[in-house]
Amino acid sequence: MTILELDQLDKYYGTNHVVNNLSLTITEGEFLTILGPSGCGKTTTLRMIGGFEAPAHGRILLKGIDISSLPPYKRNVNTVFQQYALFPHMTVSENIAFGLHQQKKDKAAIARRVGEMLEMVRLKGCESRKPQELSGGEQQRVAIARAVACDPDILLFDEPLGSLDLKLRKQMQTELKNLHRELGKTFVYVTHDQEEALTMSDRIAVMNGGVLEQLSTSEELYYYPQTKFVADFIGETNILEGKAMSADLAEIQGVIVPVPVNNYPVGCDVQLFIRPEHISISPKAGRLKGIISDMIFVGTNRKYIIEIPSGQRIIAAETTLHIPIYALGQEVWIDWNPGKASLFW
Amino acid sequence: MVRKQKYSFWGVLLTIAAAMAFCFLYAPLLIIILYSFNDASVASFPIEKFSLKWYHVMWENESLFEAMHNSIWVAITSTTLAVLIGVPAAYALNKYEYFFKETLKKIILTPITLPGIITGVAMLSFYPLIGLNISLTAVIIGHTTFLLAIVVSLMLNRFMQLDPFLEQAAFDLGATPISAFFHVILPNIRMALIGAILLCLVLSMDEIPVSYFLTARDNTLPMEIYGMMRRGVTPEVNAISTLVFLFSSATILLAIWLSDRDRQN
Repeated sequence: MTILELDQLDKYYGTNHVVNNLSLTITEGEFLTILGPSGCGKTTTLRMIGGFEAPAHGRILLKGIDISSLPPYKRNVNTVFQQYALFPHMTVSENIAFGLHQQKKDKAAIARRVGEMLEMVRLKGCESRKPQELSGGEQQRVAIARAVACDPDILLFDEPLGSLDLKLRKQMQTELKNLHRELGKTFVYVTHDQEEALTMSDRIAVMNGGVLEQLSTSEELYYYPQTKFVADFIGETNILEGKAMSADLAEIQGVIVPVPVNNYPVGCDVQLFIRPEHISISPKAGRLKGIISDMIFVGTNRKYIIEIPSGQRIIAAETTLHIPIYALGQEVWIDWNPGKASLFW
Repeated sequence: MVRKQKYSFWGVLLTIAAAMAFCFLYAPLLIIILYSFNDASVASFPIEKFSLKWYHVMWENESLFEAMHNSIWVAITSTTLAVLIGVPAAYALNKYEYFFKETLKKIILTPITLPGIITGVAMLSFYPLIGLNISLTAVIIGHTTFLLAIVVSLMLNRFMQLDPFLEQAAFDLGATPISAFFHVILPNIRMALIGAILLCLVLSMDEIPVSYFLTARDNTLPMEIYGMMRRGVTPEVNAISTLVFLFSSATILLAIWLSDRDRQN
């Protein structure tokens, strides 16, 4: 069931078109991440859902009702802010209870709910501490508890893990994912960290320059990018330049290779995107010849850097064997499964 | 190895200069405090007999009390008005963007830089134009005008330091703008606000130039003291000055202490 629908949203800052005709629907209970480089309009989109920015055009429908002109305090969505924005003059308990007080809940109900929330984020015993007496991770958990306490339709996260160190960030990622499973609530999460997006989300909306590039699952995004930007932005990839020959053939580095079916004009410049793990190396035969110029051991796999005659260096990832099977300077052939490559022009 | 502390020529000179500055600032005040306890009618040194005689004389001076009463009334009213107008003004100046914002900021803050005598003369010629005769009401409006500049500049500074996301978080959690102001903004600017109020009270109590032009029959305390001075410095003036000095210092110290505590939080 659709819980939130963004319908042709536009937003300008001066002449800067920060969100451009953005439409997407979010299913109830889903963990959706908006991913993109800084300045791509992802935070602005989140702030429009939260009610902190008004769209120039378009509608925001929450459970089918247009909320685009409602102020934040009339929307049943809650945000976990980037720097948490905990109220410094209030204790942990008072912070969590703030939203409930605004809803004019009775005292007993508030106390019960605050207790539940403290339990949920494992902060029992910190009730009467002030936010500034807590560690970054603990403050983060208070911010989550405060947002969840009001039982919103949707929880919004604005790069909430950005200021934590790497280890804590990984830990919080797992916690957030578990929390999502336990609560069954809709999460809309904004980040520029693709790994974070790939690990946590049910679906990812990749934005670039205010435009929605692709909305799909992590796997689809990784294996079947729909735009050049997505293919380049997500993960590591090899880009081979060439020319379109027909609907399913292209000339790459002087070799005619099968490519995904397309309708690009014959003779136009194209780029073939191939993931390192989809490139296979063989000592005898393949599509392109090259020389092993470097080897990098990264634990789970071994990366071979192969220099092809044009001078370009192709990265191939092979599952780790204890000993490298190829030697530096060895002449090899590389090949790939055409079905797993993407072609753009 | 112990290095010998060397006294540099400029360092010594600077210390002497600082000491002299303090001397010129505080020695006259100390003398006044001393003289206020002097039993003799003429200011003379050394003091032969200490007494509270001049405090008794002051106590019986009704016009002085009248003036004190007026001053307190002016200070409280104009401070209240300045806060009621200035705090929302500072809030709006910080929060909203509009194209004449910088100009507006300067216009509000200008009275701080203008000499009081100019403000006073200007008000004296302007108020009758709008049908306002010189009176205590005129003094209150005059004081409010320059206190407004103080309140706006102090509070604007505080609002700028305040995390804008605090208010947004309050809205996000269902607080209306009014509720967010009283439950989230106000508690976080409280100390700065108290500091501003105390400073306003002191400034209004001590103010002469604006009051001088706008006072009719009802004198404020500094005006009354000024009037008494025309008959020479009576020891009674020393007594009242001592009290005013103590009140002002206490208020300022309180304001500094409060704003320090605010910064530490």
